[in-house]
This record gives sequence, structure tokens and C-alpha cells, in this order.
Amino acid sequence: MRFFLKYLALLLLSLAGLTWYIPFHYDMEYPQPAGPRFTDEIRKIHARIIEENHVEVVLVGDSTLDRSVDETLFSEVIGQRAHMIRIPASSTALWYLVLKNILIGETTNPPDTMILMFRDTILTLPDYHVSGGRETEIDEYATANEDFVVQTAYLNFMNPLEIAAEQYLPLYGARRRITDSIESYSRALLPGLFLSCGVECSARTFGDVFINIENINPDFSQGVLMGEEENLYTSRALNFDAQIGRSFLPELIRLARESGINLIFVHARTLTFPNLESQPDGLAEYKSKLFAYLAQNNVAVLDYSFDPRLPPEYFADPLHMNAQGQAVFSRILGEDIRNLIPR
Amino acid sequence: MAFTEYDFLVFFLILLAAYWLIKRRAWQNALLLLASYIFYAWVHPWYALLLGFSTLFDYFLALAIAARRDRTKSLLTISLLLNVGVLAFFKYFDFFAADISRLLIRLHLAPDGTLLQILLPLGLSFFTLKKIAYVVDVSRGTLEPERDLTAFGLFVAFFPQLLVGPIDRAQNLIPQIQSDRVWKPEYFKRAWPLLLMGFFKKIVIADTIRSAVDRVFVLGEPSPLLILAATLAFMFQLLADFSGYTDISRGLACLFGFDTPENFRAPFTAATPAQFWDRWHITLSTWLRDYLYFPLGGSRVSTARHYFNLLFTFFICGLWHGAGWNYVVWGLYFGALSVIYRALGMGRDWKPSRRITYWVARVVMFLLLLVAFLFFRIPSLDWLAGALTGGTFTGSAQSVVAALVTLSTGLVYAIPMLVKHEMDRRLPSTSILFDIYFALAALGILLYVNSGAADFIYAQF
Repeated sequence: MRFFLKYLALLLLSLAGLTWYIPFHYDMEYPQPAGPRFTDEIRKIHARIIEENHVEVVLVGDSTLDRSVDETLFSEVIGQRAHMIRIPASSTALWYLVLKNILIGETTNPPDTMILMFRDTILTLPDYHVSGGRETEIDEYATANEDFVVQTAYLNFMNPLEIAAEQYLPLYGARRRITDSIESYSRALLPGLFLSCGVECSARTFGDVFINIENINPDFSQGVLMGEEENLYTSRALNFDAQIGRSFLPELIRLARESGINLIFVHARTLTFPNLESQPDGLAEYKSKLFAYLAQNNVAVLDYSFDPRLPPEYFADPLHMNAQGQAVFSRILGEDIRNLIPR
Repeated sequence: MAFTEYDFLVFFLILLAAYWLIKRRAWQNALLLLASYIFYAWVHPWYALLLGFSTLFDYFLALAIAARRDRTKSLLTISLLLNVGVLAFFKYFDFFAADISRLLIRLHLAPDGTLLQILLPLGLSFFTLKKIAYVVDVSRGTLEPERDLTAFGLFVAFFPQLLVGPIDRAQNLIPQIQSDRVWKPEYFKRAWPLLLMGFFKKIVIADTIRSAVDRVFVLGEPSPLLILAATLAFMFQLLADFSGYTDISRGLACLFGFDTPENFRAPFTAATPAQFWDRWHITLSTWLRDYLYFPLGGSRVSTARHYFNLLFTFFICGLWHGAGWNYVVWGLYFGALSVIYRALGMGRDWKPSRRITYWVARVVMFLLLLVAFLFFRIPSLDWLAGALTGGTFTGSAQSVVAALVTLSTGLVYAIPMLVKHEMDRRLPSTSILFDIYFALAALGILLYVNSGAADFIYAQF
């Protein structure tokens, strides 16, 4: 037991030293608030485009929007100026920030309509696509004061131990910065020794070889894509009643209404479940509850889930349309939206 | 529930407190059995049903074998057919389903969507081997059947070993289950270094190397040099991952008063395939030896038959590991290596008199292991063929840097394991360097832990 006590004393001593040193080194508060810290800077390009072009309709979504709607064609069909904010792998936390900080916060004349393209349970999954690289992306649309986002997308999904560790153990709170730095040095050790390729050169090569989507085996990237999608169909995700209260959806609706923005939801057509019969248990029930909720809140929704006008030939992969599909869908969507927007 | 999850921590602490508050052995066993089933059913409740039914089946069958010695053979056959049948169904359905599905597509017939949706119950490969060993030993008369259903159920389902082993024997675990257990500080003294090292190996070493290795094996056509670098890193990842799991499993078992077997003893320092399997996944290799290789005749048969026995045993070993042709090739490769080394007279006890010869043999063995683990890790044989024939050995200048980047991550993160290995060999256990090492390991865990830790690799087998 003396062995354990010696070890424990050493550990506590090191922890105490690091608890003093790390906040000082990284200029952190102590105790540090749990959850991610965002900077105050916001990406302003979309607000500028909206202002300069007097955009009336803004479409927001992830890569499914990017690949299924052609902005120019869509604008022509609806007869109004449209702008698309398409952020790959984005989800409700980011869409909420786009509405709050870009459409409302950064424009003097907000657009009349915001069209939000989603699929299946994504609207009520606040923790979907919010960590890792997505956190950096979210930071680009967040101010330094986003308590609601931090609580809804992060803290609600952290266990009490994690929250306490983030607040009171700076080693844990600063772990991402520390491990990133250890990893970048360890990556560069051999390239630096043998090829004079240091930290920056190794990081560049790492990005060029491993992050470049063109180098990835297509079977695998599709597998990863579909693996990620599975998170949308867990029993928790499909439980609309339990999820709605902890999601961004009520706040999205409230914010849009209070700012006079006409919010329209569009359920994308994907081939994950190409027809009604192939849907997992509970998805149909989830959707009917979601649509009832939106109707109850007087929010329009267009559902293209199983639209026969969009056959599998229009898709490049289970989630994304090809050019032909994009042209057809832009027209279909434009015509349907034309009837829903103020003229 | 994985050992690295917060849910598990809460589950375990409540269980441990309740377990030692109960003084009676029967209640302790019942509680552990219930906890093991909750642990197993956490993700898919029907897994627990499968575990329960198959346990009941072997419990009664073993009793029947002891009661009807004249029908031992037929009863044993029934047990083997059922155990192997269930394992084969869940494990290899996908293996053939994928091929059947491809064939149907070629014939322009749409495959049934349910074909590819059979889920392998976690741990099935491990507890099936435990049960087979038990029934075979009862049929051989070397083990008395266990009449206490709770004790037998706990032997099969003991949660620290349930998902990834070690594949314990009834002769080791059941007597401990049947003994009275009172809390001793000794349990904690033995458990904490195991738990600390297990989590350190998993969270800091294995998961970090994994992120470097996985990036290579998802590329379309990486250069052979890049693949070799990733395979080398993968060897350390797998060792850290699997030995880390075993350490945690043994540490947890220890806190309940159980002594369970080790699975790894510096496997990459082996000089022959036989020595490697004496040190790598020890409970599986001894199982294969005792319940497959020896019954086939082992080495006490003609040379040709002996070599066949080796090949066949490793073929089964490959099949046990997974549903993929690469595992079959991996197994046969080890079989062929074993045959060649035996033919050269380099078996388990081989140790040359000259130190240099021994070191050369170790380096050669390590390189041969590199090839073996390449087959183990690749996504498919087609992928490997495409990569090997796609270009030059080193690939572009960028690819050479990428290989060094991958290797660098693998080696840097493997250093703590190598340091610990040398400390264990050279330092007295009371050395302050161990305290420093463990304190640094705990800080490392704190630094690298996150709620999204990857599953243990062997859980998929």
C-alpha cells in the first residue's frame, strides 16, 4: 500500500503543479467554464452577400443542400434573389447560429424567408455533428457568449465527472490544445530527422495525403458517410417527445417568428431509405410527430422523402444528388417555394 | 457497455460496493451473475437471451454427460454442433452473405436486404470457447460438471471476461467462484497497476496510434511503403489495445477477489512462431492447442500429419478471428511459418547458444510478424492487391513523408510500452521510477480521455 501512496502523492503533486501552471501558460480562467469556448469573431461573408444583393430568400443546410439545389436556377424559378449557406456536415447547432448571428445579428435588412433543408431526425438531435472539426466550424458562426448553444449541444451530453474535470482540472480543460501539440511534434519526429521536414511540412503533407477526399477509397468514404447517418436512427434519436424539448428547434422557430422571418423546412430526398417500407421502425411515427409539431407552430414544411419525381438515377451516392438531379430538384423546389413566400 | 464509458464507471462502483457489503458467497455470486447479464444486455437485450439459453443448454448437457457416460460421444457432438453452429451462423453469415450478394448482383438478381443485417453478438467467440472447453473436459472426465447453476452461469458470463476474454478455464475460475471471498487490501494492491496500465495503453497509446493507422487503410491506393509503416504502427496499436483490455479485465476481476490468466508476455520479442504464440493471446493459443491441435494428434504423429495439424489449427485460428479472406490467409500464413520453423528444428524451446543468432532470429521473426499483421489489418485482399500493383514501392515524395509521419506517430506512442517492458525487466518493483511512471500514465489518461473512446479492437471478433 505504501507503493500506491507514494504514487498517489506524486500524482497529486504533479496535478497541483499543472493546475497552477496551465492556466498561467494558456491564459485560462480558473475555474474554467465547462464546454467549448468560442471566439467573438464571426464569418461575415454571408451577411455581406445578403446585404449587398438584397437577398430575399436564404437556404441553409449541409452537403445535401449543396448538391441538390442550384442557387441561380432556384432564384430564377422563384423570381426572387436567393442565397445558399451550405456548410458540409453542419447541423442544428450551426443552423441556429446562422439564423441568430448572421441573418438576424449581422444584417440591417434580414431576408424575408429562411429555408432549412434537413433529413429525418436531424432537427431534434442537438449533439449531432458538433464535436472535433465541426466545433471549429461552429466557432466561425458563434460569438463569445453562446451559453444556450454550449448547454444544448454540449453540456447536456457531458457527464458530471467531465463537467467537473473541465472546470477544475486545467490539464483536462486544455487537453485538446496540449494533445494537438504533442501529436504534431510526434508526427514530425521522423520526417524531421530523415527528410528535414519539420512540424509545418509534416502537417501539410498530412493534410494533402490523408484529409484529401480524392485519396480516400470511395467504398470506404461511403461506408463512413452511412456510418455517421446511423446516429440519426438510434432509439434516442427517434424519440421525438423526449428530444424536442432539448433541441434547437423550438428556439429556431421562436427566433424566426420574432424577427419576422418566414421559416420553411424542407425534408430532403435521400436514398438511405428510398421508400416508405425501407424506413426503420419508429421513423414514420417520428416524422408524423415532427410534422404535427411544425403545423401546430404554423411552420411550413415540404416533404420530398419519397418523391417519385426524384428517382435513384438522380443520385451520386445515398445522400447527394448528381448534376441531373440537382437541375430537376432546383426547379421542383423553386415551384413549391414560390407558393409559400411573400411576393 | 465498454470499460472506457462513464456508464460503466457508475455501474462498476455501485456493483463493487454492493458486492463487498454482502458477506455471503451465494449472494455475491448471484449479484455478479445479474450484473454480468445487465452489462451484456446494455446495448442489445436479446444478446442476454442468447447467452442465457446457450448457458442453460451446456449446463444440462454437461450434467447429462456425467450421468450417462455411455452416451458421452453423442452428447458431446450435440454440444459442439450447437456451439460451433451458433458461432458460425452469427460470425460467418456475413462472410458468405457478401459473396452471395455479389453473385446475385452479377446475375442481375436483387439480394434480400436482410442478408447483410445479421449482427454478431459481442463476446460470442469468447464465451463459446469457454463453454466448449468445459463440456469437452467434462466428457473427458478431467472435470466434474458444475451442479450450481449460478456458479456455472457466472463462469460463462463473468463480465470482466465476457466481451474480449481472457478465455478462462473452468478449472481456474469455478473453484474461485465456489470459494468464500472476503475483502483484502491485497486485491486493490494487485488491481490498481493493472487498471492504470490498461487504461493508459488503451486511451493514450492504442487510440492515438489508431487514428494514424486508420487513415492509411482508408486510402484508395497507398504506396507499399506507406502500408508497411502503418502496419508496423498497427502492431503496437493492437498490442496496446488488446493487452490493455486484458489488464483492465484482470484488474476488475481482482477487485472482486478473482485471479484470472494473463494473455500477453512481450510477444514481439519472440524468435520463432511457437514462441510468439506462447506470448500472444495466450488463452486462445492454449485453447487451440488443448482442444484442437492435441486431439488432432499434435506432434505425436507422422511428420506429414503433424504439419497438417499445424496448418489446420492455424486455419481455424484465422477463421475464428473473423469473417474475411484476409483472416484465412493470416491463419494459413502462421500455419506455414510454423511448419517451416518446425522443419528447421526451431520450436518453442529453441534458443541458440550465440547471442547474435538469437537477435537475428528475433529480427527475422519480427519482420515475418509484420507481414502477418498486414493481412490482419487490411480491409480486403483486393485492396492490398490494388495497392501493391498500383505504383512504385515508395510512391511519390509526399507518400514517403506520409509513411514517416505514420511511423513516427506509431513509434513515439509505443515508447512508453517499451520503457515499461524494460523497467519490469531491470528494476526492482519498489523503485521510485515506477511511481513516476504511473503518475505520468495517470496524467496521460487525463489528457487523452474523452467520452468518444473507440471500441476495443478484439470486441469485433
